[in-house]
Amino acid sequence: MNKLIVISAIAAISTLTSGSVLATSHDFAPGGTVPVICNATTFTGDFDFTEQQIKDASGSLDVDFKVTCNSANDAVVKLKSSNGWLENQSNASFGVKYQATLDVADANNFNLVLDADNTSKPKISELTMATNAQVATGVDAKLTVDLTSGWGNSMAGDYADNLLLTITAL
Amino acid sequence: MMKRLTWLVLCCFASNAYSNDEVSITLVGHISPVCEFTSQNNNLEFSSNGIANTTLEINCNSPMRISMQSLNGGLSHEQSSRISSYNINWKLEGANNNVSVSAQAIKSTYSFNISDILFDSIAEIQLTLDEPLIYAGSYQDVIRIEMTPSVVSGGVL
Repeated sequence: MNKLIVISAIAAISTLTSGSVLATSHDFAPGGTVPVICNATTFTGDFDFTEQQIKDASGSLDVDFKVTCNSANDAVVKLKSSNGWLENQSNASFGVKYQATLDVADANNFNLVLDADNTSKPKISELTMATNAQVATGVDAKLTVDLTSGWGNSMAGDYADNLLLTITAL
Repeated sequence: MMKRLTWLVLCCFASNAYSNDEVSITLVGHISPVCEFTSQNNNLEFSSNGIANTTLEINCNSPMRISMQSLNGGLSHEQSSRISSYNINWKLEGANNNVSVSAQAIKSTYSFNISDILFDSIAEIQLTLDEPLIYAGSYQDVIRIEMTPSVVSGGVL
């Protein structure tokens, strides 16, 4: 008669019975950071009207540049005329009124108008610009300055103003 | 009657004791399937070229299943509701299959099986953005990766 002896050598205790962990999991955190960039390409300098344009209080200047703003929550664009008009530097009572217009076609036809009409000094106009993927990477912008009317603008002297463009991310 | 019964029992024992001519011993061993891995880097910051990498050291003693789940289905922009898509590419040393899947696809648990045994193996994971991150701010996601021996039914915990 054979006697069967069974010896079981359990090399490792089953997880199901011991409760040890069979599987492993880890969490990973992919991410990134993008800095805020809101600017206009530099266009500092003097943009001169001719003597005749000053006398006639008519004529215009165009400035082309690029606007970039990568804010996901739009931006505020501000135009500020320091003198409130094109002011005679010898006599502040004389000057030429003008209208400055900023157009950014690719920003949902953004259009900001500043009437530098000598009603305040400085004169400020601002408007929220909706940003999009194009604006975030840079789009064409145009600033147009149209002379509209004058007061004592046949008087001698330099006529000057400082027009400041500011773009602030929201 | 009692005497007869006692005699019969003794005979049985005696017979048993002197009739053995063979003993069969069966030895059985068992190793539980276990899959473990460690990672070089859990915080995967995308570089300016839109790529993030990490390496996993895998110790698995059986074929296995890899499960992944993305919390946001892409990089979630904290300053808006935008989601930026990216792909997850696996390169598994010792296995023939490379796996590529989008973060969007693993918003629900995504699993794939590895028939090879990746014992003391390296896996390279590369995340690739579909498009550059253009809007200012912070972007983040959480990917949970789980490795389970194939013989055990399991998924992402």
